[in-house]
Amino acid sequence: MLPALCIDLGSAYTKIAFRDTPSSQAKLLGLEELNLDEQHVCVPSVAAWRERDDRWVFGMDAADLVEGNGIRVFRNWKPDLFPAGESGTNPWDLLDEDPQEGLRDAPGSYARARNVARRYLTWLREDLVTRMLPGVDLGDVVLRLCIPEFAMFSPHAADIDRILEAAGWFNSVSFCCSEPMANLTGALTQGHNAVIEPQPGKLFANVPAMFERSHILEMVAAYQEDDDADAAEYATLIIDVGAYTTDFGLISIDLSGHGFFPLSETSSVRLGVHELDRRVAAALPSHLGAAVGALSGREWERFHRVVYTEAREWGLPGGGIVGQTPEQRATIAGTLSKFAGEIATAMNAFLDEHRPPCIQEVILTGGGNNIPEIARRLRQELASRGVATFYLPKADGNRSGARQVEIIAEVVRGASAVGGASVLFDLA
Amino acid sequence: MPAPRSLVYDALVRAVQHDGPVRLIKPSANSRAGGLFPAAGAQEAIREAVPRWLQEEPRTSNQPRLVRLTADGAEELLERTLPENRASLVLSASPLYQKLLFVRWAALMQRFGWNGDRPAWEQCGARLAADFSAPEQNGVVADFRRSVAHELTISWKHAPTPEVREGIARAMHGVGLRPIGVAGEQVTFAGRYHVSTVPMFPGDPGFVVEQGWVIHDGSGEYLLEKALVAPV
Repeated sequence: MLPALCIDLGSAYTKIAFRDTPSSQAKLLGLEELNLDEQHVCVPSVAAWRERDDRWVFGMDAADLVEGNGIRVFRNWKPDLFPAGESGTNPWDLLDEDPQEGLRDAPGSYARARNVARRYLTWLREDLVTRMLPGVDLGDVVLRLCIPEFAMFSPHAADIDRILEAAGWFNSVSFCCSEPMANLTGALTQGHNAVIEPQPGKLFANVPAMFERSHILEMVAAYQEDDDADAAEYATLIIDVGAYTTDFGLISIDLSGHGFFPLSETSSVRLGVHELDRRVAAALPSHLGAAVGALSGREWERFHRVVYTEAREWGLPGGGIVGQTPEQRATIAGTLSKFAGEIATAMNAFLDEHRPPCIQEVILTGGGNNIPEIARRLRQELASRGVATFYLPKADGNRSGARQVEIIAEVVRGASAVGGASVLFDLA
Repeated sequence: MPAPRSLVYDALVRAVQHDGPVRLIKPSANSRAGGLFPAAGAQEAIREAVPRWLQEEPRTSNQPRLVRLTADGAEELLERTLPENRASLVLSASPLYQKLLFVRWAALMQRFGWNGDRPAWEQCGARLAADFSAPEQNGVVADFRRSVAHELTISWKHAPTPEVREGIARAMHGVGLRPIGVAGEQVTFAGRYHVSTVPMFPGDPGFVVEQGWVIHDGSGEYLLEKALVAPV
């Protein structure tokens, strides 16, 4: 079996994980120069092009560039790869007849996003990943690319395959995988892999061994020993509130004596932290909203922490303070609350559709779940469902109700990449 | 100077390091839960510590008395700890303790931020350096140090006067932050360390208008603020 590499192409940051052998642990790949996060694993999903000399830069070099004078900066182009209600591309359109196709289009253009994606993925292969994995022949590596669940069976998924091939990631067994499914796998296995080989050359994923580091197996065992247990299924719900989408995943395990067969349901909705940012900026007085809207990516991260997580004042570059008056704080809190309510509504719709008889564990991941109001609201909505454990980025001071377990940092940040590199996807 | 040890001090330290509710008195031998005070002298120590420094958890009559550290308790602990021990205590501290330090820093910003009282800033900067700086232990990533570094960088960036900015910069040097560039320095624009307000592309010639900041710790370099660069 070939080594596997998984690219979680996030709207803001790309994370990449690698698994060498079928039973080795999948780990996030880092480089010293990726100095935006403590693990050195976040690659800004940004590209920049200077028309004058047709030069391109990517990632850290492009993240904070200013547009103008023939410099075009491509940010947040990932959602444009999966436009609603459009058919896919004629394969002939991807034959490099116009290498600058779409690059002068406004944001929202599918052709623009496709062209940028191909260049960005080419850079990943020829430069960044090559330096992350010195000595590894990428031609012998299976690639997975995480894409939203709603795009899995759309024509756009086929386009992604063509883009990957054009970018040099050619391998007949490479494929796209569902973001929530990869996220769920990463969160529960924490990147661990295990296989059994009952006959030479016949490999099977050793699922119980892979999941033993989560609480899921001990909880299943305890549940099975409980004579009063009245549900046949054991279920874990995962909610990943990302920059542009919120992904829901439900893994159900049949406890009726037929073994360990996880059944999964997943879904994505187009609601993420960027939408919250947009609403908060719109709700502020115009001069503050304009200044907030112009924050850089790094400043936004600080804004999230100070204003959303710690509910403190935020001094803006050039003057002005967000959250200085009680009215402003109430406005921000109200916007946060409404947004959290919409995430909760989407979660309830997902649960209403799939109707799990019970949910024993809930995993809250993604940057959005660092916001206490969102995590609190989701826990509140789930209070009546008898959840035993919440896994979340940060436990709060509320000691009543379900147990709270803080997730290890690597899994919070890169669960999809780590999960996408899992041997489960090879041997499922 | 001898270490300021007392039943109360020990109790506060345990409350911080436990980072959660702890039993108020020594538990029975077969209990796993830790307690704050040994049985001897407990009543007197409890009277001193509760409710100012330790807050009791709600309970029913047949449950043990559990307490948590209050903000005053964290403050008391900070003051009672020798400077050379303070940093390691802070790094092992609970979120409450960390929040307290941020509140203190915000209060200093409020108090000194508008009059440019440089000696006052230098004084608080020196205190921050003492409170916050500690060597990495066993390569463990001190996320807290990065949070503090972010706070200092924001304060520096928004300082109302050059004098205040210099005072904060001293604190930043004290906690191990390193500048990117020097104002006026000729540089080749590098997007990963430089930012500009006008369009510039990596490789363009420029000069540093305002320095940036990074911090080096056990996991390598961590970017706090890119240097502001203008074209030549």
